[in-house]
Amino acid sequence: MTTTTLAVLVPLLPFLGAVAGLLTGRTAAAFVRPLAVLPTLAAFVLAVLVAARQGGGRAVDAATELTPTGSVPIELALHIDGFAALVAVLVGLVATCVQIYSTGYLRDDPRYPSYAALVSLFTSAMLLVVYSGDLMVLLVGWEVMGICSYFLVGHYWETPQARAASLKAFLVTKLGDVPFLIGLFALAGDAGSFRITKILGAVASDGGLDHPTVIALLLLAGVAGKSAQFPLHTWLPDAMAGPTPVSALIHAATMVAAGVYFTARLLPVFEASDAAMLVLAVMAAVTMTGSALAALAQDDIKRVLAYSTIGQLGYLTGALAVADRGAAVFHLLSHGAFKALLFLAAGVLIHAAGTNSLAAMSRTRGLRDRVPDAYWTMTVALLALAAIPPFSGFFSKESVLAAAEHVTGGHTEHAPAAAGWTVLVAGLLTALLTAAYATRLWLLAFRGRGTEAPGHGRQPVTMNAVLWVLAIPSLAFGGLAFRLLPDWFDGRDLTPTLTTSVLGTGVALVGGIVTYGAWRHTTALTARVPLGAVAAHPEGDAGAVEAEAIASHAPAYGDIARAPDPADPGRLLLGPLHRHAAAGFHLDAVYAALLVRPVLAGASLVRFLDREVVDAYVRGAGALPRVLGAAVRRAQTGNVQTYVSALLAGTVVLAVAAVLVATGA
Amino acid sequence: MHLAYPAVLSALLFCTGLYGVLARRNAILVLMSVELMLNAVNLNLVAFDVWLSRTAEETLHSGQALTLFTIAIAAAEIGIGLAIVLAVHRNRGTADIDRLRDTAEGRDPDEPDPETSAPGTAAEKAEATA
Amino acid sequence: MTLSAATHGFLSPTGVEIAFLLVGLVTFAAALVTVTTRQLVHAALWLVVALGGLAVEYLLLTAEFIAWVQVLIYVGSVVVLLLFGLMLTRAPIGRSPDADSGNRRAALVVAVAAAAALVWVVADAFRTTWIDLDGPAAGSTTVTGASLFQNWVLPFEALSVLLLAALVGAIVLSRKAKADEEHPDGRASGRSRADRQPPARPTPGQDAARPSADRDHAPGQDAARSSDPGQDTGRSTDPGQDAARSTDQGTDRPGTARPADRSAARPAADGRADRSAARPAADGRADRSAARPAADGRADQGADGRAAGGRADRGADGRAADGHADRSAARPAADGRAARPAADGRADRGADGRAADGRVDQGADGRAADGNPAQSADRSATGRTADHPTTDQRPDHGGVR
Repeated sequence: MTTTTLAVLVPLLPFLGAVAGLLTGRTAAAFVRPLAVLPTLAAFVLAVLVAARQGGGRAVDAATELTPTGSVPIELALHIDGFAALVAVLVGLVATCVQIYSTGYLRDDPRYPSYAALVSLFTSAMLLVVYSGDLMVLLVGWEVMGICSYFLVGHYWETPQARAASLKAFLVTKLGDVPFLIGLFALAGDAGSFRITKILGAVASDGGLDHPTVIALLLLAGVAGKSAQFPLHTWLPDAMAGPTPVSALIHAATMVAAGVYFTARLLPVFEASDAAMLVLAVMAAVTMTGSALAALAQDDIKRVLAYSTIGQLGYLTGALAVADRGAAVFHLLSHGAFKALLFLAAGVLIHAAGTNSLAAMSRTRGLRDRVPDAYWTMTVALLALAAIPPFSGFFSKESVLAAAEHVTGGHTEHAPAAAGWTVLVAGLLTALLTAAYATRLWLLAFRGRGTEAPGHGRQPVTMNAVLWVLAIPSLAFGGLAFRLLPDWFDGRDLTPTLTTSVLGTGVALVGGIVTYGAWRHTTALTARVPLGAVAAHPEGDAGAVEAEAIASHAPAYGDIARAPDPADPGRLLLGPLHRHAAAGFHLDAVYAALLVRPVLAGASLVRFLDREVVDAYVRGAGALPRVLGAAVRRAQTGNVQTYVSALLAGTVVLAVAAVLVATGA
Repeated sequence: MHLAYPAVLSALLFCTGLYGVLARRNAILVLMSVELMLNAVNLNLVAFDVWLSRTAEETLHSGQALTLFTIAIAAAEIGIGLAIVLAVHRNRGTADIDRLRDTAEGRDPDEPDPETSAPGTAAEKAEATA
Repeated sequence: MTLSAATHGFLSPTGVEIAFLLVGLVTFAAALVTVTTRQLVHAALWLVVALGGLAVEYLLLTAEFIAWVQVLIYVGSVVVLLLFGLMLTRAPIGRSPDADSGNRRAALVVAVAAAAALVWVVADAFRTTWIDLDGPAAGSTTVTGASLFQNWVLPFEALSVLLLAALVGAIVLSRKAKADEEHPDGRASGRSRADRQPPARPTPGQDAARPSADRDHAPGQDAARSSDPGQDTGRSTDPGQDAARSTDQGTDRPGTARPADRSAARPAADGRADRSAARPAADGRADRSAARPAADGRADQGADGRAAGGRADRGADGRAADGHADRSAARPAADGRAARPAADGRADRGADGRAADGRVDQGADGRAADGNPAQSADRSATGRTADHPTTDQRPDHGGVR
């Protein structure tokens, strides 16, 4: 089989699996799990094959035009370069892990068939985005991911949080998608094609684009929505109301990666506008620092990870802002691995602890002995997250910081120096904060003291095995890959530079140590302030336990995001900022004031107009016939004689009239 | 004889019958009034037939023939009419036309007609045989 | 040979014309009486006069055959049929104040307008037309027969088919009516079962009958006064009325069932029979005239207590069909009937239109006895308004008593 055929099969197999799963899920329960896992696994294998064949060499391009559109042609096109091949491998790996993990995690869930089919569809859409060489086809995958995320986040639709979160995820991403669509049209209008290769060719040519800044900013809105960048990131923490595997899938490899990946593919378009690069840099800086602060204040373990995702995506966009897409995709790959691991391990942890609250976990002793696999793999992943050498996160993050440092010197015309400085400073600050919240998470989750953790039996093998699979790239990918990857990417060197390595690792260590100190200071309080609520049905499968934990968080702690826990080191570290950080810096309130309330007011106005103004005419129009009808109805006495009288009276009148007319009187 | 005499008489009789049809309450009286109207028509037919048989060259005596038909039809009509009135009377207990108002708009639901109360009848039957 | 109007003025009528005018006047007058009289049987008899007058007019117009056919068919059979119909529908004998419906005024207007228009048109059109009645008769049997069987054979035969159809139709309709009669039968057994119950609680029924009788005394008299001669009759009708009323009560209070209604009604009848109130009823009826077989039955009943009388009554009413011998009843039949004479006497056609009228009227028709669901439901519906007062007053009267 040619590489092209293999590449076509990669998104097609999960899609077929999804269709088959949706069609047969109810009737053939025995096939549901194979149908979920095998196509994804096959797609992963094929993606590896495609990557091996492509081998970082010349991009594979194939296109076929289905039908002439009359103007800008839309083609089914593949464009597989090193980025695409490697990202597809990552997507395949994470999706396979998630599918396998889900078989254990949602063991008893009655809606597992549709869930698995949607995950397959999600994977297929992401692979389509990754491989597509045509922006319109890419948009198809882009939007399919949006609707799948809506369904998957709302998987526990019995809980109001999940319903609200799924709607929010859908609406916020659509808020970005509208300008994104317009930007795509503008881009195609300028470049005369939707094909990525032709667009890049048009950008590289002498004329360039006519409106680079407008296009770049419009596209940026879509990217911000999809990749959860400030200010459109608010859906992501709430999306934690979905099952943990879905969170892992969305956060690690698919949905949020799509925006960054898209930007990386079209980076020359963004580079054409300094303003766009600067906006990108500022967006990245605000996103990463803000989210890191917020992560430090969250109580829900998954929300901590969600904000950490936003922060790491900030790194990615920061790397793009300094025009180094090699660094961006490098970090995307390593982040995908360790973030998937973090989420999946968190799922195990939540199942074992019966709660998703760090405050409750910090009052539970021996949690790490309950789930040794999760404990060790999560430790690895957190170290990777905190960018401690030699874990993979260190190398990828260093490549980002190195790229930023490179730009600060003004050695490149691809990005303004200001962007470099912004990214560098924010990146270092975020490295500090990242280490801090990673340490906090680890300490609260695994070093709790208090009552013995309740036994929930062994975790399913499928879940634990997946953790170890993902732990390998988290541990070693960075160190092994930073030498090889430049061949696949732009050829830019990804080796850590000394300055940034020392600086980054230093601030990370400082952050970790400070947090540890704060924890030592506050941990005595845990015993004094009892707190916590655990799931009522610990014997249920992990999905059920998690749904209960999510549903009970707000009633138990007063808020979905934080807990009134004085023993929280984050509270000590953040001081007065803690309250605002926990609430995501009140961005939701701002949105409510700016968007929700005007819309609601408008809706009530329209309702008023409809009910009182428009309906008044309708009612008025109905009133006259009603009155006439009542009058006529009164005549319907049922008395035949009355009827006949009226009939004959009319006859007489008519006859007289006829006679008068006939006689000419 | 002036043709106007029978013609006017028949017109008057017809209108008398008309009044009876419209004003009488008892269905049988209404039938009587209908008879009056038919007879008024008959008188007209006979009078004009007699006139035409003298005036025209050739007539089929259609007026008198039609009169006979009318009389026969009137007899049939009265038979059927009476049967109907009797049936109504048995079912409704009244032959008063202005009480037979099933077609009235917004009829009082407390006043069920035989069809709707049939289930109750059946139930009672069952009760009776039990 | 038509002559112009000049030779035949309206002011110099011929003998035939005078005869025609006179007979025409009689005919028209008879027709008017037919449609206006309040005595239903009289209406039928006046119809005979009108139709006979028309036969004479036919003779005057030299249409002999038609004239005799008119006499034979109309006067001979149609009117007799109509009279039968009157009897079978239990049309009241004597004046009934509500022979005309409420539509009378409109009917008058329409009729007068139509008459004016027709007379105007006809007189205007045929002012000068002259019928020459001399010579051979235009409608002798020979002539008519010749034309009928030469020119009109086919329609004539078709007419025979029509008559056959009418015959069959009439039979079918009557048979259907018979089939309907079976329902009362079925009900009757149910009723008789219910009849066995009342002894357990005869008092309420009697109570019901008693006070209502008292209370209704005055209205009854009113009604009587409004229509009929005798105070006597008025009183006689009272019991009938209260029978009906108590029947209503029976229907009303339990809210549901026929049997209850029956049981309530029966003691009422008993009570009435026991109490001397029954006597005036019988008297009154006997008084009123022997024309009503019902009255005889009634008197009978008053005399020997019940069943036989009631059944005889039924037979007299031509409702022999309901030979509900099984109905231990005849008792319900009796009270139904008790109500009826009262009703047709006055309350039924009572111009005062009280709610009670409708009810009494219903009971009067012996419907209670038939047990036709529609009717009794009907009755309860119409009577509801008046019932409650009755019920309310009962304790008072009981106290007085």
